[in-house]
Amino acid sequence: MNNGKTILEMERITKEFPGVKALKNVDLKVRAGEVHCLVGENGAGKSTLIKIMTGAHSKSSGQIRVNGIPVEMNGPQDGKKLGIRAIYQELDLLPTLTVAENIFVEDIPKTKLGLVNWSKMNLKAQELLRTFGVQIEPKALVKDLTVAEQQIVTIVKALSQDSKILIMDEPSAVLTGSELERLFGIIRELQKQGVGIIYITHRLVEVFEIGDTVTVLRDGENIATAKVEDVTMEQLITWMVGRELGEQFYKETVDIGDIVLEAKNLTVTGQVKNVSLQLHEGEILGIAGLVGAGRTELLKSIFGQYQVDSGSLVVFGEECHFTSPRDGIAKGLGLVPEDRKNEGAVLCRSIEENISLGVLVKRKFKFLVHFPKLFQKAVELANYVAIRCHSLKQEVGTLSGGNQQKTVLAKWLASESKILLLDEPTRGIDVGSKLEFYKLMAEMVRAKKSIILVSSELPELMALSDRILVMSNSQVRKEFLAGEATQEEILEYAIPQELKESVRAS
Amino acid sequence: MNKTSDVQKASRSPIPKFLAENSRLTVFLILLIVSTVLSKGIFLSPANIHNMLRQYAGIGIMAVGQTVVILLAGVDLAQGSMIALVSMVVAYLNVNGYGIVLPLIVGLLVGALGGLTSGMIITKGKVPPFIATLAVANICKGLATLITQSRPIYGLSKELLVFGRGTIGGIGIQVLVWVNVALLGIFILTRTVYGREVYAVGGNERTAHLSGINVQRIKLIGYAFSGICAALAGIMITSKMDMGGPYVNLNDNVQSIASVVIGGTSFAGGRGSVTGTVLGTLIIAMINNLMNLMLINPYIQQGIIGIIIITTVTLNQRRTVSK
Repeated sequence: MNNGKTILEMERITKEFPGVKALKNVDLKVRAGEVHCLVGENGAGKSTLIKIMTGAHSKSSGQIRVNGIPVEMNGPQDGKKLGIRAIYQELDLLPTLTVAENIFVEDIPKTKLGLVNWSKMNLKAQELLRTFGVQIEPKALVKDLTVAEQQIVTIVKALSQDSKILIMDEPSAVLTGSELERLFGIIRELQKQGVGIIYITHRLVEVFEIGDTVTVLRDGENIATAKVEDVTMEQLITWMVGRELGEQFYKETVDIGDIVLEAKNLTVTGQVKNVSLQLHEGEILGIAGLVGAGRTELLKSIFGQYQVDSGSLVVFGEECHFTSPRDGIAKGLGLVPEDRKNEGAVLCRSIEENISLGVLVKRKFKFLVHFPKLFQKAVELANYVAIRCHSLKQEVGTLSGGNQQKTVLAKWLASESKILLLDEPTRGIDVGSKLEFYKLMAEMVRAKKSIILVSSELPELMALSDRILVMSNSQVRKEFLAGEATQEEILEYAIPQELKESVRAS
Repeated sequence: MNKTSDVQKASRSPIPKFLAENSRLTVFLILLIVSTVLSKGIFLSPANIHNMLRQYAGIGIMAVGQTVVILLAGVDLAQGSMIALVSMVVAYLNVNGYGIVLPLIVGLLVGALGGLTSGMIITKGKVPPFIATLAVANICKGLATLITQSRPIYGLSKELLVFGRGTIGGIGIQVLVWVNVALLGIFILTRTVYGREVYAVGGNERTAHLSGINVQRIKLIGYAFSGICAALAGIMITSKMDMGGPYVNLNDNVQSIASVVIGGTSFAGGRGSVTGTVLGTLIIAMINNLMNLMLINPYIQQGIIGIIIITTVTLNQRRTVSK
């Protein structure tokens, strides 16, 4: 696949923002029919680079050539005209319109009278979807599709307009195993058609599975570009973090203390069924299960976001009936939600304000805020969790995912939560930040805090947890001690009984 | 990224940088100079400025309350009707021999109650603020006309007229009330726990809820404050006009929202300030005043104000989008 001619060349690209150089003399070449992986930690400059590639950002200096011809792009429209398209993590679909409308939104087929040619549009959409071997109804509303299906719609949309270069920004972050296989199938099909693909991912395994070439960015610089067959995983990680990464996970043994939280037959109609669990001081309790198994719902019902219908919850020896998160927080609970953009952070406010939210709630009897003291605490915590930013006055929305997550965690450290409920805390975060996050977790348990960890990455869950509960169908199926179970055994309990039977029957 | 380059260009010396980052202050200063020059200095005369401030005090007071509501990603369309209702209630009680203290207290209570009603409909009934406050506006308007079958009430007692006409140290009492309400608004938003919670709720309601903030309470207080501000404005206007009027100043609602918007507060909530709103009110006041001094047809004036709102909001949007 490496014989295709070079279709995109970026040379000595530099991008300056006030006070920061986001990119320094970065070179990148993409050939036709090549899958070029782009890896690097959060804030390494990957997003900036692709925004320059698509014309969404203007470069400060450097040159871009498409098919050998130098181009200047002044907006995303210019990038699109050149056949450069990006599929971002946040799918830019219109949820209330149909699949077909979304695919053709930029060029809706019209009748002679200038009206929408519905039949032609639906037919064309169907054809396109069929080439990818997917069963998606063109007339279905996008909001009714699964995330994976939505992602396929974005890809089809990008391809309906004759793309030469397709940029995929962490497409795998929201996909499960079989969906990912389907995506790789689509990518291989595109390769045959001579499309150049830039594939951004945090899961390095995927680089070896799908990539031809890999470029590593660190701190805005191009650290290395190599053929995938010539590099090892360790090499990639070293390039990314700039040092040898001893291990992928980090766990300390601490003394497990008394029970701090106990749930008995906790039930929330339709969400959580008869869940009983115990959490001890200094313990990390892992919760495994497939998407939809009720793990998020369990955390939210412990936290007080969902009203518990029956069963009991005892926190620090006291029977609790939380009616809102406020009650849970008052008892020392903190939730780092799965959806950090909509539930974790206030994106349009600054880092220090977000962190201070945790303090404000605790100070309910005090009317006035002592800002220097409040923000001093925020500064300490921001340093403690090592948020990378130019100023704490920066809006959280401008931070990378890993740093947003650290901000949310710092909020709960500010409120001195003793029991932390972490819901997929490392999703979409790069290797280096993940390790930092694990170390923070270790420090928290050393400080006698307790953690309930929900994660879909089994190796992570198995490495960090003292005990693992496996959930499926809103219920706890099995409990394992650390090191007791293999991935296969955990999965055995995670897959719902009906599903297994239906597989056997077919 | 336009903003970035603007700031960079301007960053050569501190003053242009400051002006670029505080666009409303810049507009205000430019207007001040233009007004002074065009009016050959009349604009800057103490009498003219005092007049202008007195005329816009009511709108200025309303706009402070409106700022809190808009920061909460809402809007209060009931302020104008609240003025009429409070005007009628205060005047009715006053001419029927209840003195001035009771009418004033009842007037403010009516404002708070009206705001709370909007807040309840929005938080408990999950009705969009636009519709909820529009409905409350209609109810207020109905009640205002019901009291006297839509006839104005004349013959207020002398003491009541002090608010609209009296001065302390040469400065109109209503202007002083405006200044104090604005300072109170700035204080609440920047120095109190409640203020910080307003920004959090307006910025992201779900996150605020999950961070333990009592979102409903924050909103209820916000709408009540907006209602109280409207009631205060109603008292000032009643006193200034020496009558209770069921149709007074219904258009002030638009001006109050315009002040907030020109002042740079985002309609999406979570971003903005009372300082900006005060500048917004002053900008509208100055433009109107200037046009009056230049004897521009009042009907054209309305249109010009409209164009200015569009221009400022467009510029604001560009700044936010380019971020």
